[in-house]
Amino acid sequence: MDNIILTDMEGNKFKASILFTHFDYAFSKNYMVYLIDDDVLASSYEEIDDKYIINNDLTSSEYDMLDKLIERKLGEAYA
Amino acid sequence: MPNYYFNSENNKRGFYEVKGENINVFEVLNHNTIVEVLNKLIATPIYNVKIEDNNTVVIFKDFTRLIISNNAFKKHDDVYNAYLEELRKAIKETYEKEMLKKHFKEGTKPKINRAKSNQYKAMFIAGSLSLGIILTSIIPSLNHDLKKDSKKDDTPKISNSITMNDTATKKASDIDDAMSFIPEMTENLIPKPEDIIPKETSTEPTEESPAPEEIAPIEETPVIDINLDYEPYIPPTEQYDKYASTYEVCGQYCEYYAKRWGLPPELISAQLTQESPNVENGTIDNPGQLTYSLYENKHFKVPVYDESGFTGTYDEFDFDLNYAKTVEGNVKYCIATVREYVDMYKSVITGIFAYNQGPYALSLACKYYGLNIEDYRGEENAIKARDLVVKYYRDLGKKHGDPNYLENVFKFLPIDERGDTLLEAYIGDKKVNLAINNNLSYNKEPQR
Repeated sequence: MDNIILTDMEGNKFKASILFTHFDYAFSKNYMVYLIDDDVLASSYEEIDDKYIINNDLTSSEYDMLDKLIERKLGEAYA
Repeated sequence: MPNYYFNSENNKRGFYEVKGENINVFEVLNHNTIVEVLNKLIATPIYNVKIEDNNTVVIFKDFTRLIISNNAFKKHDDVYNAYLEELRKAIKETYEKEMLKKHFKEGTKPKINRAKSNQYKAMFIAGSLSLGIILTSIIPSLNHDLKKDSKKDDTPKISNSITMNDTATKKASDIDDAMSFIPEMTENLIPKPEDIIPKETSTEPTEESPAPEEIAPIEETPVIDINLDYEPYIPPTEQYDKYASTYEVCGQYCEYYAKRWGLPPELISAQLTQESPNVENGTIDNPGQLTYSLYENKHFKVPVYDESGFTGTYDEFDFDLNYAKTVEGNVKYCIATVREYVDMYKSVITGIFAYNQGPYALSLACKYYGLNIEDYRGEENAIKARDLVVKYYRDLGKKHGDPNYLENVFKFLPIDERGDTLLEAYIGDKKVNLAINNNLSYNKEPQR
């Protein structure tokens, strides 16, 4: 399952690769970090009625947290 | 090389070992063996993972192979949810490491493209069993449009001419091949009813409430001595007595739940004093210092005691994040967790230490040194177990928790004129007496 399909509300589809997911209890949200066309993107998500709803409207604090997490996880991956 | 198959049918999990020369023999595992196998798999590092739509294949570094239906990771009405959740997390961690290494070279520092992230409008992914392993521990029913939408056909290839054993023979000629092999198909490995051979001595838990398997009753014992060196806590002033202020906020819940669940209230109060931040505005935020993410979807089943001992009944409840953020909920989940760990290791002291170090630190340490974990269960082995865990992380060069956690908790215990504390607790259906002997405070005046 390297590739997944994200569908927006207008029906446009995007092929993405999930790098990792993370629940942050400080923000009390689930996040996923993924790739679309070699761009590293991040969203929060929640599960509603068998679907995962992705929200791309993150704050800079959330992005800062996730950038640090990417660095840490990459360090652990190559440790 | 042992092979296991776990599945879920009609919301009931099945646990099988694939036996012998004949691939079609799936031996049903009994409860004790299931727990033993799950603990072993959780403690064993994973070499490779392949997540398919319906099944996940895992190769462990000790050559064990596991095929597990993704359905099995859903919450079930059995006692294995916590184990499967730990296994799911280990699989997720391995998968994510492989994904990161696949896309980024060592030393690179990728950052999120925030501008592009914000450009995308709200989106959704239709749920699938394979996604559930990565995104959540509760997996929705299979309902995905990925096959018809995806340009790439990810359907597992099915070939009746290939069996796992045949391929294992082809690929197992050297160790590296055996470790890298993941069968291309898994559908043929689903057992038919006639293939399943139940163990004659199967002892599945019944619907009644006997004492849980992991709480084995112990013989009546005299007082067990626990010897440690620690300085009792001396409050600078009454106003800033941390024990008193913590007790004022949490004490009623400590008393109630600790007694109900067979643990010494004064020890739980001391532990919460050590754990908790200071009182602010008359309350304490997260006194048990719970890591909420670790409790997501957790189901508790806690034995209930009264003056006569184990009542034969259990308190059962699910973790609720909003309730965990109240003092009562937080303390309740803290004590339920300690009870779980006490039962796991048949020791109050090891259970307390596991609260800080994690429930699998001892099994990881035993695995690392090639020791039998049974030699480290029980109150009489508690300090030995503590020392082993501390040594394990020191030898790995890892800072992990608080190596002096027991001393830091015990310093808040009320002591007698000899500087000792006598605690009563239940392990299984037996009452045990623990004398916490403070070697540094022998013959000191009581501090409180």
